[in-house]
Amino acid sequence: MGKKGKKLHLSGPAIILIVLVVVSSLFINSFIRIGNINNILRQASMLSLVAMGQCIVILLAGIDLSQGSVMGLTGVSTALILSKGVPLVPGIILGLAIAMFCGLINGYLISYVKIPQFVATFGMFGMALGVALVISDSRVIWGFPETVRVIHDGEILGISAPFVIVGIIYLIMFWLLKFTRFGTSIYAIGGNATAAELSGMPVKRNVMLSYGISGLLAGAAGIMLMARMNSARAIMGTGYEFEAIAAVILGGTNRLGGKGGAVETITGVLILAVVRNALNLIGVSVYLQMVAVGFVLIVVYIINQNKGSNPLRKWFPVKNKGLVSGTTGNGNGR
Amino acid sequence: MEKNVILELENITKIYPGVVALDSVNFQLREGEVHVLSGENGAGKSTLIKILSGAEQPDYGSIIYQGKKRSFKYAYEAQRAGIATIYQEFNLIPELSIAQNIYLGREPKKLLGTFIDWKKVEKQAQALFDMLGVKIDVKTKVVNLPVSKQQMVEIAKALSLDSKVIIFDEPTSTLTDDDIVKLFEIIKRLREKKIGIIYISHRLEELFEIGDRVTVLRDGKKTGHHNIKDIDMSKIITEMVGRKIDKQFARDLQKPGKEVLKVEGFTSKGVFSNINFSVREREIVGFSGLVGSGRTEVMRAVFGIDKFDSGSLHFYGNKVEKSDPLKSVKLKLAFIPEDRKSEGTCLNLNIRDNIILASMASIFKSGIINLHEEKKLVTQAIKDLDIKTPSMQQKVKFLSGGNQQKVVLAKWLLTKSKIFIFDEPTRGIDVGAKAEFHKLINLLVKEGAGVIMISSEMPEVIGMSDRIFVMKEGTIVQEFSREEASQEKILKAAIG
Repeated sequence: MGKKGKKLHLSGPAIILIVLVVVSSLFINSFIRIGNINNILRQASMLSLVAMGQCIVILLAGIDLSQGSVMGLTGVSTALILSKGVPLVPGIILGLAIAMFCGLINGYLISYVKIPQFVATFGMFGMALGVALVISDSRVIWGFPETVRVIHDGEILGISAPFVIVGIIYLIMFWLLKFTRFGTSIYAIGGNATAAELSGMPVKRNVMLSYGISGLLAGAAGIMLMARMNSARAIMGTGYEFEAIAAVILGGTNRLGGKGGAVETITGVLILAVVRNALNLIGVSVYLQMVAVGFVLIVVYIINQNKGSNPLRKWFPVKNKGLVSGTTGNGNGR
Repeated sequence: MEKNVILELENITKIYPGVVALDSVNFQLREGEVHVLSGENGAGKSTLIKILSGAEQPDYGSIIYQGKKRSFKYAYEAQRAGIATIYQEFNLIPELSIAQNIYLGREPKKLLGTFIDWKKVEKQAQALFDMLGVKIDVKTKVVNLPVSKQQMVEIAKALSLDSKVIIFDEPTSTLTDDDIVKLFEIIKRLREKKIGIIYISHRLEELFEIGDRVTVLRDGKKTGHHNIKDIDMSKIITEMVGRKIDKQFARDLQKPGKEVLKVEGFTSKGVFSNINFSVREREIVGFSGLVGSGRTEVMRAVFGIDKFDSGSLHFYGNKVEKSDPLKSVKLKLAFIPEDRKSEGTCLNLNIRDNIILASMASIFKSGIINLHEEKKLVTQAIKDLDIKTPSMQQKVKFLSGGNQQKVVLAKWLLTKSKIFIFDEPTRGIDVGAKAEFHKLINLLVKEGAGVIMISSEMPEVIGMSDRIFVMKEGTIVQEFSREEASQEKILKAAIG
């Protein structure tokens, strides 16, 4: 609940983002131009959506490895639906429904059948990708009505459509996580699932719904990517889930810290986007960029950890933790 | 029904496989009273609490709450009805604030139910603590609180659920003296609000400080029920342990031989201090004391699982600098832990693998297992200990508790160890298996082993040991010889 008070604490990741932006602006000429900034933000819009879904799942101490495949499946399905003449809005809704369905299956397997998250979502990763490849015959789908491109290229009141869409979704997610019982239960389940269950929370149902949301958002990202590229392929989303996980961690979401949510996730997404963009402008190869991202990920994770042995702690001080809670059994042992 | 009785238990009986946990227990709680529930480990207190809180169902008998017969199938049913339990292990979400924890799942809302009203949550939480007379910032994360304050959060939670009955399960075991004073003040306030309080504690002094009435349980039966002012400590102790030991323990006393284990000035900061004892061949040294007195910790340090800070350890007369399990096993020590499921056996492996586990290095020196030899040894072990199983390939997790414990013992017997450390070896095992166990330990001793037995079961400790050490809060408070020992004396020393 840190951000809601009167004092605004800048989190570690926020500081890192600011530093990155400032450094890039100073040292790279083309960075600070409006066109470039626009580019960065537009490119980040897909990842923003996927990362938000992943964030909720990570808060539950889970993981969703299927988001990329769901993206592809949704993109391909929606493209096919639209090219069959279905109007835009119903077409999109159908696509999103497919995405949410995949997510709910994940959630059901994890919550009720008690399959570990890794196994369930990994299975879905394969299944969704497989189905996408089958229905698209491994081809690129194009030729659907151009109207869908408005999602990516359009403007609402002068602001790029993707920003508006991402903005609205993030506001909803912020409200959901911080102002509803559902959201509080997410933090509770991630913090101590047993205690949450004993407090009468519908743990199974909420976990299932969370995976549904993760799938839904992955699907939305898939449709947005489809609009951006004006085409769809089964593999178009592959790899997004890992970027999403990186973004969530970079942003400082930590279920053990009860920290995390919309604000943290967008911060992480932007850090990744800025780093990528800056390296691109400098001319660093894509492969070296991967090294950079991995490096940043580890460094930021260490900064975010509230451990005493953290050497960077003096720049990012955290309140001293008191004694560990009495959840470790009978006080003095046997 | 008497006036003011808010909760009544009639003839509550609970049977687990092989043991009667509660036998027709009657209990009564009035509004605004602190009713202490007393008894040894295993007397049935925890079972009674589990039944009251909805975690378990009684096999016979009834619960009468607020004049009506009730049954609670889930924990939150009891909670919602107004019966709250404060356990030793708290059910709090570490990274959420005090206020959030109290109202978890029941947060008040605003704006037509679209937003949680966090301001209200904080205000209401603050009001609860004002009622308890405690100054605290309800926005603090629970993980940043000391244990005593966390306990208060649980109490506040109980209040917020409009509880009429609050059960405290050993609330003072992790508190400092100051904390205890504050806790008692809170309990007095709760009493003023006509809340009925059931208070479980080993510490008999507390009984006299805070209790109005006391009910004593022993081996699942109610042995006494008094007003606090009508009773004194020795009478309670007698009711707690005054059973007739009519069981014969299979103990052939031997003449002790050489010293095999010695411990001097053994200290681990904050856990146990200045432990001195020795064990000789052919003798059984018993360790008694309450849960939490540090017995297990001492033995774990002796065996080498945990480190110790100062003092010395001697095996067979030789000083040991650092102890670790690998070295200990090589030196022919055996450690049979308390928790057989997580520490004694590999549940997912079969009997054969489990039994051979500790002796592989010594029996198969080349590193290659001779399957024929292994089969022979395991078959013999199963026969010797009468382990009931269709085959040695049976996975240990499917065995009964008693048989699992036999597997653990078989494992260590195969190592032909000289020094055996048993930590609560017969806990949760039926009477028949217990007797077999004692026979086996007796045999071990006859053949020259030195045995340390940690046990909370008085008859067992007195029946089996040659000497008994009583530990309390990390130190040895008394030593008894076999002849001197009695249940009352031991309990008195343990409670002190």
